[in-house]
Amino acid sequence: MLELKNISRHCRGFALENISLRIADGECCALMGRSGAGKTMLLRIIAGIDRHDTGSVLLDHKDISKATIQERNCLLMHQENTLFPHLSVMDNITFPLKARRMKPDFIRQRTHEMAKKMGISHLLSRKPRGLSGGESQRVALARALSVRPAILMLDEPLSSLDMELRDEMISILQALKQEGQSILMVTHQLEDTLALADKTAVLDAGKMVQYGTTDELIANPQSRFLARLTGIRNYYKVDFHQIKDYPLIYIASVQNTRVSFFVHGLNCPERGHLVIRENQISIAVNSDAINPGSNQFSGVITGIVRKGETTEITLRNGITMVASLLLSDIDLMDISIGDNAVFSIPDEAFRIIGSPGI
Amino acid sequence: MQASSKQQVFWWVMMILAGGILLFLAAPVIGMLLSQNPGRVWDTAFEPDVAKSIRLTLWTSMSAALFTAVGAVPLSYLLARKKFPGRKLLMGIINLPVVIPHSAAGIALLGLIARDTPAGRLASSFGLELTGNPAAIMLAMAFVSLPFLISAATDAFAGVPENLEEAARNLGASDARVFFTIALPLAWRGIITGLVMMWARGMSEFGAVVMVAYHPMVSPVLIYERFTSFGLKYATPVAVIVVLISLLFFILMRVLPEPGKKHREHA
Repeated sequence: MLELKNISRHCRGFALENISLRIADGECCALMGRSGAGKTMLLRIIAGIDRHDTGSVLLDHKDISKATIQERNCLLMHQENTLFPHLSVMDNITFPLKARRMKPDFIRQRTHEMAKKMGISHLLSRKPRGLSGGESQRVALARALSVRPAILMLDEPLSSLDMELRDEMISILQALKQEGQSILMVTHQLEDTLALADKTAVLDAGKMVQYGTTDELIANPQSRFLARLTGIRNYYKVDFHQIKDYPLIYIASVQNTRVSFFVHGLNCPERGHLVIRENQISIAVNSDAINPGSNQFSGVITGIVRKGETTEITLRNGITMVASLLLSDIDLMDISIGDNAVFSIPDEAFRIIGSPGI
Repeated sequence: MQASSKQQVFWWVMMILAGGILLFLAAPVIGMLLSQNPGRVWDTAFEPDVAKSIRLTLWTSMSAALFTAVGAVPLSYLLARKKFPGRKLLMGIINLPVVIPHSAAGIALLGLIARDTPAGRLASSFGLELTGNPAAIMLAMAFVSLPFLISAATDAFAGVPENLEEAARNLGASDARVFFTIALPLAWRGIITGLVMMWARGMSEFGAVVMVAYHPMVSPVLIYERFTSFGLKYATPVAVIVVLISLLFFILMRVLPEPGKKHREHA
C-alpha cells in the first residue's frame, strides 16, 4: 500500500502543496489535472527522482522518504519511450533483474515469463528501434513488472496509442490490477479513468482539489476541469442567498461577476457549484427582450460548434453560457456569430453541487 | 523566371567563393604530394631515422590519448551531467591549450617538468628525466590535444537522453552501473571520434613538443630539422609521409558519425 502524507515541494516558482492520498494493493488511482498541475512532479517524488520538502511517502506503512531511487521499487513508466536503444528487448527486460543481482537462472525464467505474459516472446532478440508504439509499451511494462514493483506509476500511458492499442493496453492493465498490482496513473482522458481507476485525484496548480472514488468524483465534480471532462459545459462557482420569506427560492450569484440566477425548489448551501444542463436551455435569436425576475439572459453569440447530432451555441453576457440544440432546431433558426440572442433557462435545468471547501 | 535566374546567379557566386577557399586549403597539400616522386617517398619512409620518428609519433600520440582518456572521459561526463557554479569558467580553462600559442604551451609545460621544478626533482630522485624523452612528448601532445577529446566526449554524453539514465536508476541500477551500461555505450561513438581527433592533433604537434623534447624526434620535429639542416628537398618527402598518415586518420574521423547525434534523434 502506498500512502502520501502532506507532500509539499517548492521548485522554480511552482509549489506542490499538501498532497495526501492512499492506494491499496490491487487498486488503481488516476491522477488528473491540467498540464502543469504537478502530476508528473508527484510521480517523480514517489519514485525518488525528485525530493520533496515536507511530508512523507509510506510504502506498506514504512517511511521511504529518505530511501534512494534504487531502494524504493516504485517504478515509473515515462510518457516517452525509455527503452535502452543499444540493448535488445531481452536485455532491456533483464536490466532491472541484473541491477538487483538476481541469479542467472531466475533472470532467464522471469524474463521468459514476462515476455510470454506481454506477448512479446517473438521480439526478444530485436532492438527497440524497430518496435511499434504498442510493442514498445509492452516491452516497457514487461521490464518494469519483472521486479514486481510495489507500485507501478504510469505517466500518460495511453496518450500516444491508437484506439486499438489503447483497448489492448487497458486490458493488460486491468489484468494486472486483478493480480494485485497497485497502479498510479496520470491521464487526461476520462475514458481511461473510468476503465481503470478505483480512485481519482484531481490536481490544480499544485493543490489537490478533489480526491475520492472515481464514481463520486464523476457525480460531483468539484472543479471546472473535471466538470468539463464529464461533459458539463456550464459550471459556475456561486454564492447562494435565500430570498426573504421564500424558503425555496435562492439567488445564485456567480463569483467575481454581476450575473445571478434564480434557483427554485432546490436546497442550496451557502456556496457551491451551479450546473446548467446545456440541452435544456432554449434560445430566441435577434431578440433582447427579457422577462425580469426570470432566468433569461441576453447576450452576443460568440460560438457555433457542431458536435455530432447537436450544435453548441455559446453566449457571452458577463459569463460564458453554452446551449446545446438539435441540428433540426438549428436549421429552423437563422443564427450566426455576432447575433444577439436570449437564453432561457427553465428551473429543471439547474443542478447544485455543494462544496463546503470552496 | 527573373527570380529563378537571380537565384541561379546567387548560387553561382556562392560556389565560386566556396571553390576559392577549397582551392586555398587543398592546393598546397596536393601540390606537395604531386611534386614528389613516389619511389623517393617510399625510400624515405624506410630510412631508419624517418621510420623511427614515425613510429615514435604514432605510439606517443596514441598513448597520450589513451592514458589521458582515463581521466578525460569521467571529466566529460561530469561536465555533461552536473550543473555547478564556475562550469563555464572550467570549460574555458579546458579549451585554453587551443587558443594559446603552442610554443607558449610548451614553455608552460617546461615550467612544470624541467629538472629544477618540484616535479622534475621528484622524478630525478627516482632516476627519471621528465624532459627530452617520450614521456615528455606524450605530456606535450596530451596538453595541446586534450580539449578535442573533452569537447567531443562532453557533447556525446550530453546527447544521451537524461531520462534513459533516470529510467535505469528507477529500475534499480546504481550510478556506476548507469554510467557503464547506459551512458558510456550510448556515448562511445562520440568518445571514439574525440580520441581519434586527439590522436591526430597530437601527431601533428610541433610547437609544444619541440620545447620539451627536441630528441627523440617526432615527425614534425624531424621535418623541421631536415628543412633547417638540408633544405626543402630533404624535408618534403618526410612531410608527404606525415600528410598521408594524417589523411588516413582524417578519413577515419569522417567515417565515424557525429557525437551523440544518433541518440539525440532517438530521444
